[in-house]
Amino acid sequence: MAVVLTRMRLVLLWRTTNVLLIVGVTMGLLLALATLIFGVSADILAVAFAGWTIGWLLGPLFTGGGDGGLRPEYFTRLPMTARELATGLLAAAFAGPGAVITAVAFASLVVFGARHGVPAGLVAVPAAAAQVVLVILASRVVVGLLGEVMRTRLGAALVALPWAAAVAAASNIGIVAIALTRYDLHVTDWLLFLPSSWGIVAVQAAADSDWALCLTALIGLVVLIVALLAAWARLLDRRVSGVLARRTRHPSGDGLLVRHLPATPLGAVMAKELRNWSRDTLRSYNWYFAIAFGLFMCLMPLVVDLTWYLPWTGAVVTWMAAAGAATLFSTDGTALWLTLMRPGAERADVRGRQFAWLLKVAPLTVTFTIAGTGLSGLTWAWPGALALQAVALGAGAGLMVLLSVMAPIRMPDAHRRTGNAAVDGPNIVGLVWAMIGLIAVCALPSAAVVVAGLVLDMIALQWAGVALAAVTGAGYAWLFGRIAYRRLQTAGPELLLRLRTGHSAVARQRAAPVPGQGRRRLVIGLCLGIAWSPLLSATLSLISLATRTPSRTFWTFPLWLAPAFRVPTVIALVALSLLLYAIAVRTLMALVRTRAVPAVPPR
Amino acid sequence: MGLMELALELDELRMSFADRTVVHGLGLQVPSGTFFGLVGPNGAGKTTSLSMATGLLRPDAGTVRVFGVDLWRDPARAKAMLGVLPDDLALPERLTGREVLTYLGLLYGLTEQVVAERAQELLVLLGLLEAERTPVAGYSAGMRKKIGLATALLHGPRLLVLDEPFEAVDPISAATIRTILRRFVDTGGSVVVSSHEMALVERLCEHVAVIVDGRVAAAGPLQEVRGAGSLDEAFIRLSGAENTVTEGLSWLSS
Repeated sequence: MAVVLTRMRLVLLWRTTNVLLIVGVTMGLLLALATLIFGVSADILAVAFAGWTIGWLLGPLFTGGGDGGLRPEYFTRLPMTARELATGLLAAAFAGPGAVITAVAFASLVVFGARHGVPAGLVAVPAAAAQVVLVILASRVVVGLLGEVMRTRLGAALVALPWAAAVAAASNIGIVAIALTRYDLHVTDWLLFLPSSWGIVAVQAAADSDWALCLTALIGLVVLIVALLAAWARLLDRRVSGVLARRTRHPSGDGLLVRHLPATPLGAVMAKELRNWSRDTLRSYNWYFAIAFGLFMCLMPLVVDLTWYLPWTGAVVTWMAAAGAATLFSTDGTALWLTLMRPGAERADVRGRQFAWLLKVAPLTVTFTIAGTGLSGLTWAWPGALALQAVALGAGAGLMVLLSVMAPIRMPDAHRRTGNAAVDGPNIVGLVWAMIGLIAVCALPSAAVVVAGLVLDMIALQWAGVALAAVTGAGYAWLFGRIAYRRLQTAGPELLLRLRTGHSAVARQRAAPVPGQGRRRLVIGLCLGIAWSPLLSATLSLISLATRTPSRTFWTFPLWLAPAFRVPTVIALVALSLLLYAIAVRTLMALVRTRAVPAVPPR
Repeated sequence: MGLMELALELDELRMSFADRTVVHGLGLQVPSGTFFGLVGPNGAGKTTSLSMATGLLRPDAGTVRVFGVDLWRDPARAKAMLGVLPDDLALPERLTGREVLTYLGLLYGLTEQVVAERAQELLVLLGLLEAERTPVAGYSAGMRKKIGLATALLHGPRLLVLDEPFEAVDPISAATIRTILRRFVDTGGSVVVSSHEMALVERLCEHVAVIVDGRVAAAGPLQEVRGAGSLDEAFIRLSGAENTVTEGLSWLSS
């Protein structure tokens, strides 16, 4: 059984090998080698093993279940017990790059043991092996547990909490380190009590000839593995026997907002979307994850009396909420056909989704921004916080529809989902990073103006940055939404095919490169990269002129000129900026059009 | 018959995916006011052809006309006359049946009152009222077909294109659907259905087309296509497949 499943897994792995996987494997191997090289003490190993374990526990939720394509449902018809299935699937789980990489990393325990003599080295071999089995098994059990919990909104929210806390702590590791040293917490002492370190404890005890402790730690590992295997078998049984799927919950009634939406196409889309936001546990999970991540990220520094993060809470939540919505069209799956059957509805579909997202996200995040900035007592942060909040809302509302239309991902249709984000959700890591990066790019112009205002100590300039953020934010939402619905209008059937089958029929037509594509991209990049600087220079110069503050920085070069030329130069700079932006938008539109063309003409 | 209006006209439709051609220059004419059956073996290209005929899959070449309007050139006009039930595509799954119909009706530009009346009538007629509070994701296969049919009927189309409308539907519901479709045709509407149930096609349809290997192997009035035998026999003859299980599988007995 195990051999058959392993072979099946390897075939599936071979079929799905892509660049992303290769990059991931390379990075994983580098990390494993680092563990191998630097894992010279029990303390370091304890931290490293804890890190690897957290990776295995959190990973599946972001990368699509981690079952490597071997869904337990495939094997329901086979005459075997859940326990046999669990054992077989566990064996197959080792036939993957993740397990191999982890084995390399955990081999550091053997190296560590060998340094402390032969007995310690010998103990290290089974200890390291048990540690690898433990993390892989624990990862599967967590996926199974998620399926149990994530069937209600409350469950989704509960699951989001620990995940968000872990990711926030990982992305804010400096603060965690400061907190640990400040409160004099010897974290490695604590870590040794965790199962991720029991192998290390056993090896260390063997080195010290403390055989009772060595044996206890090893037995502890084995007992834990057996218990987890039993738990996984039980969870698998519940999953494949349909216990989880059978429960259908009735949706709760509509909120005040939904009941008062206008009876128009736009209102209908908004009502549908708002209902989805409250009824789809995958969406609920993404939303609660965004809130929890933002709160953890920005409240955690309070532990070390740092209030600098507070003002950005709302913006961070908005950022993450946009990232979670980057698969908006994909999560609806093939239901897109309904929009395609109603020409002209594409615009309402896109705009309705944008408005619904804003209605969902804006009230809470704006409150966070205002409350956070107020409570922080950092008066200088007001313009920056408001500007970032405004631009994140606008750019987020624009980019989520744009990305989900441009980069559709095939997901199981809603009625075929298990309700488990770790099993249903595709690998969206790339999309999430793209969204985070793109919003940052969108925020650059207004952020630059606010920062310039702070540096030059000009209040008016800082608030000009807020105004710019509001205007550009609205612009992004409008422009990106427009590109998205134009794309739906020109290439809707192709998008539907992608969502239906996972690949596109026009691939062979695209094989012939669109002429001028590279040049157009370069033009767009150059224009967007440069366009904000003349505008900033003009704004700074104008403010200096208006407030009669002498300034001789590079940015205020028009003031170096003879008085008669100053204002005309400023106007010329503004015009130049606008021209560059216009060129960028025009080129982008042209690019989108030509891309859609090869798919268009049936004679 | 003379010059008759065509509800649906497919001309030289071609479609290929990655490495294989699925539909080879398919042409079909569905006279207005008829009940038209589309049959063919598995993988013959029925669903692909119907997807192209309804604007859900862009053909590599060829034209589709709905009452003379080129669907791929003037989709707004063509699709307004078209009601579609695709095979196995999702709906807004988190909404209840009534919410789906309301959403779609408003998207079609119907007024709130008209949508409410039609939704109620369709839900009652198709027996979906008991599942009033169940989201579509929780529907059975047959209920999904029925709510799909309701979405196809909602805006009052002139032509219905239904992919496997009777699959997984219980006999009582199937009778209801047949009655609805029959009445639709009797009042001037046109229907195209694809199905694997030959008996059903023989009972319902005046015209049939047999699609084999992405081409029309035979098309016309039912009598002409089936000739002296049954549609079943004609189908097997046209698809060029004999019943191949004459020997083998000897281990399959106890």
